[in-house]
Amino acid sequence: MPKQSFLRRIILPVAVVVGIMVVSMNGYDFSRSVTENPTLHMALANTTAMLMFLSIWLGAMIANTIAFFQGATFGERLMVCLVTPVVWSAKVLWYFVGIYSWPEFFFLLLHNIILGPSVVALLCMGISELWCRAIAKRRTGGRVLAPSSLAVLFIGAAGLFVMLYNGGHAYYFVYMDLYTKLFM
Amino acid sequence: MRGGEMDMNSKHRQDKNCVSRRRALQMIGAASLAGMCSLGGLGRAFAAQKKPNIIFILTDDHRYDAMSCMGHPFIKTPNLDRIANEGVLFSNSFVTTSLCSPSRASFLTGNYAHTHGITTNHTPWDNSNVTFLEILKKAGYDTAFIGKWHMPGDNLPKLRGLDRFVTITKEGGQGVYFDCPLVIDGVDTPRPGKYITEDLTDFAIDFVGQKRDNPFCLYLSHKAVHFGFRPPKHLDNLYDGVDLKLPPESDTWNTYTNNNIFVGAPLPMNWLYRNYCETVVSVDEQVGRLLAKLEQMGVLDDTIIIYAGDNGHFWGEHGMYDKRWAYEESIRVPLMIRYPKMTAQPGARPKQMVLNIDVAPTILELAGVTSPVAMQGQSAAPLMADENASGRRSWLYEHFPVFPIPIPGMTAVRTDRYKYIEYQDDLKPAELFDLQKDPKEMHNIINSAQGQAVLPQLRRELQKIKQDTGYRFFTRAEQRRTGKGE
Repeated sequence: MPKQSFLRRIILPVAVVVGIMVVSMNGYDFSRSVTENPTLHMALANTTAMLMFLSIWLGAMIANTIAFFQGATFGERLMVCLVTPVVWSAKVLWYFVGIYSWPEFFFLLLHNIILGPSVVALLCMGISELWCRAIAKRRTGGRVLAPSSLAVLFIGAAGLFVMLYNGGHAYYFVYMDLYTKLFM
Repeated sequence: MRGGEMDMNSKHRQDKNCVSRRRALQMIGAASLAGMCSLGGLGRAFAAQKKPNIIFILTDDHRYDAMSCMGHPFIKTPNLDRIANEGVLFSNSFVTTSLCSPSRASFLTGNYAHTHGITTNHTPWDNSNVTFLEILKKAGYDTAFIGKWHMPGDNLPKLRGLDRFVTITKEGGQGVYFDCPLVIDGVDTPRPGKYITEDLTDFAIDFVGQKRDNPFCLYLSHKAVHFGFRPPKHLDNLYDGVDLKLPPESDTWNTYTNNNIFVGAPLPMNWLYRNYCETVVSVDEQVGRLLAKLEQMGVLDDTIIIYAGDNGHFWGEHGMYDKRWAYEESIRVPLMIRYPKMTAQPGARPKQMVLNIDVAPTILELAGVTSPVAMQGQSAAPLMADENASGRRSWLYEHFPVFPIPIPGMTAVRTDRYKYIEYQDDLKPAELFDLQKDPKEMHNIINSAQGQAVLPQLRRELQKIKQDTGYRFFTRAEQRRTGKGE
């Protein structure tokens, strides 16, 4: 794909997904104050929450697709895809600051709720890569199955499997066992 | 809810009064006797004749109002209602730490978490703690601990004073609802095809039904109604289509948002609540089986039956899910005692504040056993003899950070009227609620004129209770910094 400006390659895809996330997140928070009208409350909560989670979990598909057709390199696309989960995780982690020691805080980065969105983003990016490359092949030729695309797809799928195996309990108990050994 | 509670309460009392004048006279006599010679003396007098059996049933995450006798809009719990209606329901019952392991240890020891040392779900049990089971064993009881222990450590502790120890180690001691393996007197035992609440009740019934010369004390501690919330097959879908009447600030997504997902419920709120309610019904059914067994044996009225929950639960109130915080939904629990011989007014609902740390001293007093160790709780037995007996003026709530949950440590003082909450390192602004005007704790009045007027007294009260009970703050970081803590 012809390489477009930085604004169109990087800022545009990031702005789309992060924008949806920020707007929906605030909309959801606002919905909790609409308690006088239950129908409006639920409509607002459902719409904004769905958009929020779509942007967090599936945002990489949108961001990668935009970035791909704006000529972003693989590294740029990877970065673009990880912005939403990183921003989300940073927001989540903010509530931990001051409660635990810094080593414990950094250990949190391995928690499946923190690591999960990034892993899903890699999986989504891998899926997006396949269809973007399939479309690009029809237009300009090239390969659909590029090693880098397959790698993110594999890492995302494997990571997700490990984190969700047995309803996430297996990973969580290993994680907590490790925590106990390191910190207790 | 409160109005409904009171209506049901007064109606029940009217019914009772109409039904049995003789009963009322007996109770007046008992209450007068208690007044004359102190209830401790009365307990010992009864005990000298024949010590009562004791059954303590503890459920997990059972919120104070999730029973029909507390006016729940649709949950039907006839057996729990029976305990309340034939005994005493302490309508203002609380846990001093709203978390499984610390609260359980408080029930067992009669002490605050900072005293017994089990401050989080990761803190191992300290075997120097003395449980009421150990004390009762020394007083001649046959004892059994059946069910959830849920305090960590490399191995299960060698609890002193137990004749029978049936417990769970699967999933960190939380267990699972179906096919949950048990550790039966130290032996890992698969339990295929079993539903945990029924399985534990089977063990309880077996223990209760054994021929014996001694009185017994059974500690029956259910996994239910903790997360997982899986009712048995015959109750599955019991409340499908029912209007759940969740609070207005609740929604389907509460469980995923505001970091609630860290407390372990990546499922929609309404689905979880429906299953929770169905699981409560299964507990009620099993309590009914146990009561029926006691009746069949002819020892129901010779048995002190105590039912309690280890902490409350949010269902969207304050935008929250789970427990831990110092708000009412989290800290209020069901607590009721059925023991006709020491109950002046069956169906009474004393309003005085009663705590989980009061249960051990209450059991010992009712059994006429003197505790060899000091307990921080105080017996609630006087409230069974006289609903208007004086209660405590205030008490300390404490929570310690539990990795990896984004909830800071906190302490609070709760009086009949106010609740003042302070957070670890001021990570969250302090809160003050007027519980009379604002029972749902929606308006922090700390900066209002009313708040400023009562704040100094509440702060002093909090400091005083901390000092009196030897409060220490426990986090790993705090311990490293100050050398205090465990």
